[in-house]
Amino acid sequence: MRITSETVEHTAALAKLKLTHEELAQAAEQLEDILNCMDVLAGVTCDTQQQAQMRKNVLREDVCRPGLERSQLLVGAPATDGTYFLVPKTVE
Amino acid sequence: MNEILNMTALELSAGIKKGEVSCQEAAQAALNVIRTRQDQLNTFITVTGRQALERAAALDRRKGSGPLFGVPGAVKDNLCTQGLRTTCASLMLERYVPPYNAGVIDLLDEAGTVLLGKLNMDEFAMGSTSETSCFGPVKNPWDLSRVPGGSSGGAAAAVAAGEVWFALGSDTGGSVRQPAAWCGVTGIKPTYGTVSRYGLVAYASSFDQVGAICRDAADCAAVLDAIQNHDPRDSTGLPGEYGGLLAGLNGDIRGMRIGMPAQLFGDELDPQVRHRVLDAARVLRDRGAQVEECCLPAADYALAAYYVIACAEASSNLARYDGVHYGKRCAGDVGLEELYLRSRSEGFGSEVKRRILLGTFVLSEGHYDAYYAKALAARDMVRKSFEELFSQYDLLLAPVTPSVAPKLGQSLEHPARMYQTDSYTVCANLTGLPAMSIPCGQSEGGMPVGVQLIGPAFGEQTLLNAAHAVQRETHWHKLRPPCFGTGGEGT
Repeated sequence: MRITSETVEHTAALAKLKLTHEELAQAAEQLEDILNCMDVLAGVTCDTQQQAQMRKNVLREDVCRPGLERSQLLVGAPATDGTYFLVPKTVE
Repeated sequence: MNEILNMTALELSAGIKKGEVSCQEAAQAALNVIRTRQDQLNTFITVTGRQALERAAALDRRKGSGPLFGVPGAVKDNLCTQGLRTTCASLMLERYVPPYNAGVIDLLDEAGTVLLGKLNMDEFAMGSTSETSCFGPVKNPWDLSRVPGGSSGGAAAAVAAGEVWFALGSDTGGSVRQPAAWCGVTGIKPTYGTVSRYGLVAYASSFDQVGAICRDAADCAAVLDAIQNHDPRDSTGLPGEYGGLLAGLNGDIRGMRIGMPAQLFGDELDPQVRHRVLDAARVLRDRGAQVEECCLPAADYALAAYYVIACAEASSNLARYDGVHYGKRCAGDVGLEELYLRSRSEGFGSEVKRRILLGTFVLSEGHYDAYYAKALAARDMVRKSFEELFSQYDLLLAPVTPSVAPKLGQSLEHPARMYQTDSYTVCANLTGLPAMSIPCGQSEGGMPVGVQLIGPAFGEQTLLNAAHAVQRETHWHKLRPPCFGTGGEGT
């Protein structure tokens, strides 16, 4: 499969990554190389509907349990006001 | 000093309980080796010298039982340790100090072990050589110009060099077994769900499994006895009866049926590796096992399916690193979108970005069916093939890797080629089956070669018995590299 710099740029935007022009070109080449190795999967027969039916989540009941304190969770945050995570203003 | 270092974990603990050596002496001996070897090998990211000696002193006062009591070990730096930084070898988490312990850390503590520190690894466990760490590459104790394997390269190299008696790693596509093979030590990946993933930083959640790297199979049994349990905090944990592996270790393999899948002995396999692996098969046969070639056609899809699914899960798991909740935030006064973009781009290294991009691509509109859905179907095929094989065989035997450890710097330029080194190990991750790597010889250049044993689900006892049987008859697991301990020099 042919992977262009534009394809990588679009994918990087989805993944919230910013790549330089050089990185885009290199990533295009490497991803194409890697995806060529994945071509073997084209030979696999796949029924997505059947697949969806076969898989199901196995979930336990929701149960309230004590967790970590707010102060413990905030300690690793790059910016907080002691109560909340701080982020740049998003609404003027 | 090398006498203590040369012991297995079980021998050391027995010596401690008899009063022949103290916990403090053992911890100090190991710390001396780490201090001597760190610049050469770069196995550790964080060494807990003072805390380790305090812990050892407390254990000396307390006395205790248990097969690992007093034994110093270390863990891969993707296992969370309360109050002790856990970096995943990434700039993203360079200063991250978790507020809680991983489940296995508490269990090692209960077993009376001494934590010497956090081990170097590939960034976020993504890599096969331990060269993608932001703290620099780990070196192979057998040849400092070669990689130790990855991603648990620090763990395997530290055990091989005599810096610790055991280590915990994680195995997503072979990351315990492959470095164990390349460093000449014994590694085991247990059945998926039998060791808690709580506090293991996620890479690919449906594959990630904590495993042990030790000097021999008996030590692996003791470590698994300590860490296997059902932890309700891990939603994929499996309830069951755990423990008793060490007590059940008898090396009796008479009548055991062992298959060697032809697809895992392909043309790419180095003839030297092939011969050493077949030597191990001969040892098993001589001890009473029936060993024969078998067929695993679905193995042809395994590597592609593994990388598609692993990268897809990685792209989702690593979305949590946003520069807001924890981890790196870019400098400067920027808007929210730019903050996300720059924090992630500055925090992740190139291999991690590559896998996030690949994962995002295979999950994106227009490509999902061609890659992700097909990979899930291939995974089902591989699983079914293994189920069929285990109706005929008790164990499967294969190489761990196609070749011995490559030179530093050879793999990173060609990611697709690096991924090929995982061809023989990923099957056990796709299926969740237990598998181990044990030393089975050396190349002409003196580099270790490993043989892989794969068992049915919950087949750890069978695996360990086969490994124990080989290790009773061979000396490969007792060989030490030139820079072992504090004596001699590496090449």
